Amino acid sequence: MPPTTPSQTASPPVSTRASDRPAGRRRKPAATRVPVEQLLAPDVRAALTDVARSGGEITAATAKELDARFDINKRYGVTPRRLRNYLSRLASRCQPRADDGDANGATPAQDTWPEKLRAHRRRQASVATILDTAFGRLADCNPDLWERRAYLLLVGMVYERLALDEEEIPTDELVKLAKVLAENRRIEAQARQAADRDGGGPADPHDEEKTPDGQLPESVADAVRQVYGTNFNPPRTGAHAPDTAGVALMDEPSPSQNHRP
Amino acid sequence: MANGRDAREIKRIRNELLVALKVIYPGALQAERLLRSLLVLFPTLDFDHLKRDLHYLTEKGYIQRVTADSEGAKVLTPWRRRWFRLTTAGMELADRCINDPALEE
Repeated sequence: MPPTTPSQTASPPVSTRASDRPAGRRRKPAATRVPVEQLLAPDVRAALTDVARSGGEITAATAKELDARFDINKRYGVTPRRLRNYLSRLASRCQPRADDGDANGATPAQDTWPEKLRAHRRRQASVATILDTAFGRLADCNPDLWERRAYLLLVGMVYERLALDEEEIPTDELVKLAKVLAENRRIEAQARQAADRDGGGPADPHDEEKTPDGQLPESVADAVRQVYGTNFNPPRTGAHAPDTAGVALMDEPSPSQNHRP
Repeated sequence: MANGRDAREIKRIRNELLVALKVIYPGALQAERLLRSLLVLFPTLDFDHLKRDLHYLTEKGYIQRVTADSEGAKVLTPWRRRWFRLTTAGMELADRCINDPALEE
């Protein structure tokens, strides 16, 4: 296509210089803008990719189902009226191109791999720093800790939320997560001290709270209910998400309220 | 090509498994958490593929399964809920102190 001359343009060219734009409306240069489909959470993106690859259309029923599964309205602020069009546009952008990857079209575009990996590494480095600072060095591998599944579940959850979530974890949730973890550690420390005093083996602070079949709580919700005596109402974030952050407000203050994590 | 993945992607997935476990070393992560941590890089990764890679890395001696006493019969624990951690060899590989040609990209 021959380049257009200024006389052929329909409208005067818009200045792209940042200094010419009004303050507060600066856009990132095109090279660094991230496509919206890459800002989606992995589970949402995977679902839309599946729909696009299967050639299915985003019907109203499909849009409603996706919204129920992933809380699209809540997470991305899309009104129900615009939901179907929004998801249709996203699905078309998530559709793998014919020249991408292998016959299954499943591999990520090779040219974006280094950037994705770099971003992933940055998140992992930040998470590693936070875990190391917050939970102390796990250098002494303590098999007793492995029995505290609620503790490790929470650590895994914190890792997952910090390392994986594309959207920022709300401060309230982070504070509540930290308090739950600190309380769990305090219980472990007390149990260890009690065991040392009695001269017996290390006590399991969850012994009295085990379910009748002798198993530790199956989920974070059970662990939080047993530790705090309140319900744990995680926001729904996907079909496979077990328990995500979002501790309900406590009805009564517990002795741990004043304990700083 | 195995299971629709080329050799490069297979190696990348296995390396990223090791790196994810290295972040929390010597702690352990459940297989489901590992899967979710890799979905951001490999959106089409599914659990069957991950299981094969976990088996492979376990047999290679780079990761090991961790079982808690509360798990009871370890063979009955669903795969998604099994815990895995790096071994010393896995840590050295993740730190690139040693090389494994099968995992070099």
